[in-house]
Amino acid sequence: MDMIANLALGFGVALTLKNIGLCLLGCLIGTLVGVLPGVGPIATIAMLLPITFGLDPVGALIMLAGIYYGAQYGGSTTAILVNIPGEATSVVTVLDGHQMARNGRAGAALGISAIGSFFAGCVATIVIAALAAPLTRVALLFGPAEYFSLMVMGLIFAVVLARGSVVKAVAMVLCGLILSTVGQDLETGADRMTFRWPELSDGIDFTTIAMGMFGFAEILRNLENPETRDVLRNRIGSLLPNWEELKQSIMPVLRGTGLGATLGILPGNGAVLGPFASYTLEKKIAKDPSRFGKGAIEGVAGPESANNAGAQTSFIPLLTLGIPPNAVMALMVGAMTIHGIVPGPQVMEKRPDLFWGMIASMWIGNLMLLVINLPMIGVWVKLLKVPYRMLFPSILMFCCIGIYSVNNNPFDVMITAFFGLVGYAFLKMGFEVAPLLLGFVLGKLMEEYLRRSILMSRGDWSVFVDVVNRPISAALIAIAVILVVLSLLPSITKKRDTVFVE
Amino acid sequence: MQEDKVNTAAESRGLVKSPQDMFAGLFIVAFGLFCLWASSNLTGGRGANLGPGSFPRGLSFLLMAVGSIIIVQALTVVGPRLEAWSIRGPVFVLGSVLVFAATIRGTTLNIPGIGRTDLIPPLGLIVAGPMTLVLASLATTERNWFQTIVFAASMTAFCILLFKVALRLPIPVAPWAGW
Repeated sequence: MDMIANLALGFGVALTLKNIGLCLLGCLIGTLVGVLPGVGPIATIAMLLPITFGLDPVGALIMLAGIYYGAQYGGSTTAILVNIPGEATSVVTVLDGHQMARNGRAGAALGISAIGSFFAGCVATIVIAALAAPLTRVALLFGPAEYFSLMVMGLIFAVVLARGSVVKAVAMVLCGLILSTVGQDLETGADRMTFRWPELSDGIDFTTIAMGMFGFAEILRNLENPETRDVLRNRIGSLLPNWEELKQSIMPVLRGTGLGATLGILPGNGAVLGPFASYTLEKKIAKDPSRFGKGAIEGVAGPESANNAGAQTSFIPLLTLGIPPNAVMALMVGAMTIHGIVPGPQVMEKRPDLFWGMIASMWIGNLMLLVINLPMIGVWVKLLKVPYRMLFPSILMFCCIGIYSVNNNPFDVMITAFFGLVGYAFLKMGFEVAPLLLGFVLGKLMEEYLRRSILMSRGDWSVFVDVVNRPISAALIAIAVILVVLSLLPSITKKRDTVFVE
Repeated sequence: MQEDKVNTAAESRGLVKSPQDMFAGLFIVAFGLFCLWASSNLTGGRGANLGPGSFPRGLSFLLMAVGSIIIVQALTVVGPRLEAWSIRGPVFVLGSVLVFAATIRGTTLNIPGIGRTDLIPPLGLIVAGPMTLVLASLATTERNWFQTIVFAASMTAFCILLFKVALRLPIPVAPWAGW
């Protein structure tokens, strides 16, 4: 089988001493970031990009990927022990995880979330390996019109799945798209919206937007709402769930993995839905739904597995189509571009070592995380006691050094401060900024594909919905339209709100 | 929590039912207008050949349309009030970042009539670091000067060791001493 030969190649790359070390480092940083509330993977990856300049591309991506899925593990620790989600995706884990901790089963909750995540991670790795080749072949059939339609659909997905108002999310996507046009036009070389600032003619660096709007704005928000950290004082207890609990968890883990892996493949950040969907499902099919919210282990096992499966399968749109499904993947595009790799279907052919090495490293990373998380839990709990007044200046400092080092240019640091202020204003106006970053990253590609499609169709704008000649593109646009209509129906809107409130 | 906000906000409402959305919509429309103006010097395309101005201008119009929808919503659907802005956080946090940017390699301004003038000499990480850290610490009201200074000094030392010594990033540490 091709897949086994490919995975063997991947393990050959991932199992070198250097790459194991980088994978471990990434997982450690990721867990750290996940454990600390108020420090997200987006800001961290943006912060650490310059550090990866000196590495080879394979090592750099292995480390960055480790940070991303490591953060998913770490987030659940905080959710269970402190009753605040360390990451956005562990919101659901708080409900039953912390109740289990109150009931003296903190160890079992941590244990099952680590075991479930590990299982989900293994399955997701296989899913990526199995789906990558066929999807890549599909991608090769895509012309500019299909790519444009696919990106439209991805952005619509991101908008529908964003929290809060759909219209406001659309506004954010448009802001992102328009910010991406700043700088020299690729075709004509004309300076666009630069106001004759030479610094702007290369365009706005996406790290400055990411760090300003996510890193700095997040700090400003945290300073306004000083959280009370109620770290659990009870003993954590045995980390292994007992037989009864294990039996109760098997099916939720399987279902959660399936749900999470499927939703994660969707373009437009489907991964965030995984834990919610899994929790709702478990609650619905449980014999006694009233146990949920009072420490039901199914409510930890399912969502935690879904969360990790989704985090990993969201690499699929990036690796096969070159389209990032969420903000973290958008940063991975940046990391690849810095190393001269254009993400897309050609990566698998031209750089099989990179492609399969990264996939193999995910499995190794999951194994490491199991080891990092379970026996070392005490270390992470101590970290939770670092006061925020020391944490945030350190984050600021790392950010400053990081942004400066991207181009060795202090101007970038000033731009980032500006975007920090803009991000803070957006928060105050009730905008969510994740769709903006996604729009910004897709903007340049979208414009290029749009212009190419229109050129090829000789000015005929109906190419995108031409059912006869371009059925794939027409289908993608149709899905996007259906999504928009569905999301605007009052009954669905209500349901969507309750999903996010829960 | 969201519910409370909406309920308290619903008590006194005149024309504008959701001040937060009103502000948001106005901002988006204004931003759309600004982009339209900023891209007005670019040539749009004709027929099959889209020019550099087509995409930005199209987006500007879309932005204004979406902003108008938000404004209409703000006039019809009851929503949250505008939240108060804090001054302390943004001033010290973003201020400390600007100080870092201005001092790490120094600042040179091109003042008309005088020419290039060095406003701030290059100070390097060894000075910019502690300044940034102490200034940022002022963003919280908790104050412990001794702790802050020890923290600023050790954090700077850690950053120099990590970024300059271990990772060899070309960041100036003490340019006046040639490092």
